Amino acid sequence: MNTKAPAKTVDVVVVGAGLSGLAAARTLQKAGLDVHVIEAADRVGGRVRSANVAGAHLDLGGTFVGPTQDRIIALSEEVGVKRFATYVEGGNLMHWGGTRRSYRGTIPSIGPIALVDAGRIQSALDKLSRSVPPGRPWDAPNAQELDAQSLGSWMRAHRATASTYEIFAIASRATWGCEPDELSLLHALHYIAMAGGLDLLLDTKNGAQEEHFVEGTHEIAARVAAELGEGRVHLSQPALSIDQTGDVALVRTPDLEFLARRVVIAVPVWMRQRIKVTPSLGPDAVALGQRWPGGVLSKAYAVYDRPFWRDFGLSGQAVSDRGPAVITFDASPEDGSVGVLLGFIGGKQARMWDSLPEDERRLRALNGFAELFGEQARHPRGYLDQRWVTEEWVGGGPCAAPAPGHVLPYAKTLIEPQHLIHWAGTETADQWSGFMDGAVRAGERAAAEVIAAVSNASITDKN
Amino acid sequence: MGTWEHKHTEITTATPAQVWSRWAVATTWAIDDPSVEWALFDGEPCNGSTGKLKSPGSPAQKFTFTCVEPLRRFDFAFNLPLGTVSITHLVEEQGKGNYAVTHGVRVEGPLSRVYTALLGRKIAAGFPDVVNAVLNAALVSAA
Repeated sequence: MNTKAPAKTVDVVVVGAGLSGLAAARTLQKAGLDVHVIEAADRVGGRVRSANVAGAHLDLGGTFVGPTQDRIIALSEEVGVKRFATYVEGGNLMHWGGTRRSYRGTIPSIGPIALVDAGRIQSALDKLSRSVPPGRPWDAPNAQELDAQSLGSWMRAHRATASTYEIFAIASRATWGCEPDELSLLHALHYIAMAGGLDLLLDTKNGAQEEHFVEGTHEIAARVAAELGEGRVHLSQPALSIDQTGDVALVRTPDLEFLARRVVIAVPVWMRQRIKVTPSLGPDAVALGQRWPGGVLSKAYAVYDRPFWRDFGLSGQAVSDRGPAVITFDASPEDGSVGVLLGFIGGKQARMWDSLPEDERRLRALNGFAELFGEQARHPRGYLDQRWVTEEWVGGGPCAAPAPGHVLPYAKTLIEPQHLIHWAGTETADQWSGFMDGAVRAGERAAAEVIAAVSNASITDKN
Repeated sequence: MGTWEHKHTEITTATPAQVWSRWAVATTWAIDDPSVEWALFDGEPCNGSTGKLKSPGSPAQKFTFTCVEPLRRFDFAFNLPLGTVSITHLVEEQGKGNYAVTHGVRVEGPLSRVYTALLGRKIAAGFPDVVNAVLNAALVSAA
C-alpha cells in the first residue's frame, strides 16, 4: 500500500542542498517562487561539512576563500558569516628528495635552475589558459588538440624538469584530486582560466587560500537553509526519479512527491546518473556522468594545544614530495587559541591512503607532519581525517577530473537545460568552477534560467 | 675491501604477521616492487635456502637466504664476482601498537664501489616506495 502523501504542487524543486542548490533556492525564493529542496544526505552542505575536534572548528570540505570569489563572499556576508586571514607569517617548508628546507612564496625553493623551469611552465600554462574562454572551452583555438592531451603529457612535451613536473603534480593532486596524466589539458586550462590564472588559484595571500570563515563554511549552508524556512529543505530524501510530462515534472523521493514547473539539479556531475529521468536525457548526458568522475582528495587535521610552529618562525604551510599530505596549511582559529594543521592528500596517494585502516592513516599523517614541523606534531590532542570518496552522496571531489578526450564531447551537456531540468553545481560554473564560489555562481545562474523560463510560461493553476 | 649500506624505515600499525605475508611470499615481490619482474623460492625460505629473482632487462640472478627469522627478519644475498649485495628486512616493535619496518641494502667486497653505483643506489632509491607498497598491501589485504 502506498502511504505517500499526495504530490505537492510547487514552482521549483531543487535537488541537492549543497551551496549551489541552496544558493539557487534562495534566489528563486527571493523572486517569489515556491521552492522546495530535497537532499539525499542527512545534512545540508554537500561538499562543505564541519566538525569540532578537541575544541577546534574544522572545515572538512571547502575551506578557503580569496579575491574575486565575490559570490560566496557576498552570500556569506548576507548570512553573517565572517572571514579572517589565513596565517602566512614566517617561512614555508618543503620536504623534497629526503631533505627539509624553508622558503617563502608559492613556488618552493628547489634551486635556481628548477625555479626558472617551474616559472617557465607556469607562464606557458597561464598563457595557454588565456586562450580558453571561461564557460566555453569548446571555443578555445585548438580545443580538440588540447583535449587530446593530458596535463602530464603536455609538461613532458614542454620538457619540464623532474622537479617542475613533481611541483605541478602536487598542485594537480591538491586541486583536482588526480595525477597530471589523468586530467585533460583542456580541462586544466579551462579551470585555470575560470580562476583568473595560476597565481590566483594557488596562492594563499592574494589567492584562493587567502581567508577562512570564522564560523566555518558549513555555517553558510546551514544559515541559508534556515532562511529558506521550515519545511523547505527535506533531508534524507534522495531524488529517485524525475518524470517530465508536458509542463510539469513529477519528482519522487522515498517519502515525498512534488509536481514542479521546473527542477534544478545541483549534485556533483558524477552523481547525476543516480537519478532516473524521463524522457531520457540521452546518451551524452549518461556518458557525462561516467566520464567526468570526481577527483580523490582527502584531508587530515591535527589539533594541538597551540600553533607551536609559529614559535619557530613557520607559517604552517608546507609542500612535501613524500606525503601523505602533499600540502599543509595553518588552519588555526583567528585567535590562535589552539593550533590546527591541515594536510591535503590527493590523487594516487589518496587512493591508497583512503583504503588504509584509521589508525594507520592517523599514524602516517602525523609522521608526515612531524617530518615537516618536528616531533611535537606527532602528539596532537585531536585528529580527524575526511575521505570524500567514502561519502555516499558526494563520492569524490573536490571537483570533476575528466580524462583526455572527455571534455569537448560533453562540456555543453554539462549546463544545457533539458526540457524542465536546469543544472547547477560547481562544475557548471563559468568562474571559480570547483570552488564554493563557483557553486554559488552556478546556483544563481540556474535560478536565473528558471526565473526567465517561468516568467515566459503561462501560469499554472495550482488549484 | 669497502662496505656501503643504506636503510629505510617506516613506522606502521601493520603487524609483523601482515608484513611477513608480503616478504615471505615470492609472488608478492613483483607486485610490491617495480624493479622485480618475478621471483621464486626453492622451497620454504630458511637460512641457506635459495631462490631466483629477475629484474626487467637483466638475466635472472640466484640469491641465498642468509637470515630468516619468521615474523622478524628476512635477509638474502646475491653473490656476484668479487662482491656481495645483501637485501635486509626487519620488523621491530615500537610500542603503542606501532612497528618499525626497515628495508636495507648492503654492498661488500673488492668491487663494492662498482656494485654500489650499479645496483646499491638504485635499490636504495626505490625503498620509500617499496616499503610503502609492502605496508599498503599488507594492511589492505588484511582488511
